[in-house]
Amino acid sequence: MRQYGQAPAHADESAGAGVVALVFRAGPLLCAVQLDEVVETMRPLEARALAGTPPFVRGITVLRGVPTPVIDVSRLLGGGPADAERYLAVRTERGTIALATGEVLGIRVVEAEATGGHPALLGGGSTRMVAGVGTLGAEPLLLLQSLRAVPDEVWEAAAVNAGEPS
Amino acid sequence: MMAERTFGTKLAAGFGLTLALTLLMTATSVLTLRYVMNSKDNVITSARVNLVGSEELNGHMESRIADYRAYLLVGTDEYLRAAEQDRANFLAEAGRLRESMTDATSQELLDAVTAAEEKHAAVLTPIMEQRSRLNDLRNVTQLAGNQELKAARIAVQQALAALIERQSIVVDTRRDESSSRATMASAFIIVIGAVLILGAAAVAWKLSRDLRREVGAAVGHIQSSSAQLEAAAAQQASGGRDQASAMNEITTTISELLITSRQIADSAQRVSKIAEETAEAARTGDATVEQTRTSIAAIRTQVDQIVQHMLALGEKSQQIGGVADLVSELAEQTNILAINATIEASGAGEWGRRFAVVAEEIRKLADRTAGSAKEIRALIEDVRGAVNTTVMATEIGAKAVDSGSRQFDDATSSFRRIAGLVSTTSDATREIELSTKQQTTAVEQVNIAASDTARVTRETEASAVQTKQTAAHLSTLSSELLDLVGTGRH
Repeated sequence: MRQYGQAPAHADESAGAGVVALVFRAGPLLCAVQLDEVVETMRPLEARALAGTPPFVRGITVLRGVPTPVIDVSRLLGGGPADAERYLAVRTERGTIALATGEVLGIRVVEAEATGGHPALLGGGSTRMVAGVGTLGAEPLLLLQSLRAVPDEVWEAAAVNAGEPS
Repeated sequence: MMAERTFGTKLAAGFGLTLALTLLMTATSVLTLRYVMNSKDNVITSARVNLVGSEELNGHMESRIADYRAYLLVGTDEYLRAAEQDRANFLAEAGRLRESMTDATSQELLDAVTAAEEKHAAVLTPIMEQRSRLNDLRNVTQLAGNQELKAARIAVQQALAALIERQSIVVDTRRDESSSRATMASAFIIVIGAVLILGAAAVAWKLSRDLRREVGAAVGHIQSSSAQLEAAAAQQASGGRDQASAMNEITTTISELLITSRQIADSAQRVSKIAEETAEAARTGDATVEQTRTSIAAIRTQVDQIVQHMLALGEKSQQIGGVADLVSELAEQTNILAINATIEASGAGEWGRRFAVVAEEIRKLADRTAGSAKEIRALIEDVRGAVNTTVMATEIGAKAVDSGSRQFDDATSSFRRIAGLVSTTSDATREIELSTKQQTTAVEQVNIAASDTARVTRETEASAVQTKQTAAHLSTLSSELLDLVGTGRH
């Protein structure tokens, strides 16, 4: 809570150096998404599970009349299952997806290094979602890029489900 | 049976028996004398009337003979009348004799005399007529029938002589009978007298024997009793001395007891006073207990009200929690809206950044509001917990008050019982005090009585000595009386 009060001053001071991002928690992890990619935040909506999808896909929900896949960020980043406090609607190149997150901490200017310098940190399929790693206070902060977060089969399943009455 | 009667009764019976025998003898003697007297009277009557009558009859006959002889000689009427008078007297006397005579032989002889006299008169009458016709008698031969007259006269005289002799014989016979009866009466009286003397002697002997035996036995008893009385009096005298000394000790002990009783009475009075003060304190304590009961009831009411208020407080806290939830909800919505506004504003250039600042401030406010709402919620939960704890504690307190009230009721009843017992104790103490005072009075009376008893004991001792002397004197008198009675036992 105190971090909310400190964030604007910190953002103003480093406006030209970092990236303006929306900082949130995903299980034990502290994550951020560039503000440009964020459409809106909302309370968690009802999600219908999809068969044949990876475990980090919670299912599919409807955002403003559009079927949208729901990605569990904590499970995606290997932090284990966590309760969703918020949904973040994020733009991707194949459409809007919903990220199920923990508490939304606010908008920060995040200074993150590219992930290429630390390939050992983010191995596996998830590494493609992490754009860079920074810090927020004493905690590590993962700057996410959502463009390739959702596998294609999910989009396909979402498309199939969009045709069904929900 | 006689042994059971008193000596006076026996004496009276003996005298009565003697008197009865004496009366019997007197009556018998009187009857016997009367009997003898009657016999003698019969003899005398027989002698006087019959014998004398016979003699008079003879006299009248002789007088008639003389008179009619004189007439025959003289021839005067004087002698004739005299002769007729003599015959009338003769007949009258013969009539009386016939009535008085009881002897059959005498009656027959009298009849013979009467018949001879009739015959004589029958012979005489013609001769007398012859003489009346003769004016001058010069010879007896002038008169016829002289010889017949003589025979008739001799027959009459012989009959009269036989009658007189018979009467003499009758008188003698009756005299002899009377004499024999008198002799029998005398013998009878002598026998009766002997019986009387024997009976009186027997009664006297019996009375004397009983007197000796009974009076001797009684006097012997009196003598032995006197000896026992003397011994008892001696013992009583020594016992009286011992009793007098013991009574002195008793008097001393009773005096000490009197002092102790007075001390007890004083102590009982003090105890009674203390008991009354205790009873007064118990009554005061009873009032205090009653006030405490009222206070406990008020506390119970207050505790109930506290529970009600606490429940109302919990309910209000619940309502506040609902409002806080609503505020929290609004804050969360505001937070979401502010973030979204910031996101929207971030793509709107300079004006967007200004709006983003405003939106960020709104979001901060919303966060603070949410935090405050959460704190309020936590505080309200604390309040509710505290209220629940308070309600539970209050109910426990109410139960404790109830339990305390019950215990206090028990304590009150115990206290009242104590007060009652104290009252009873006070009464008992008063009774003890009264009883002790009465006891003291009684002990004083006993002391006086003991002093009197000691005095009486001394007097009794003196009396016992005197009784001993009197008993000795009585023993001596008994010996003398035994000598007098004749038993003579010493």
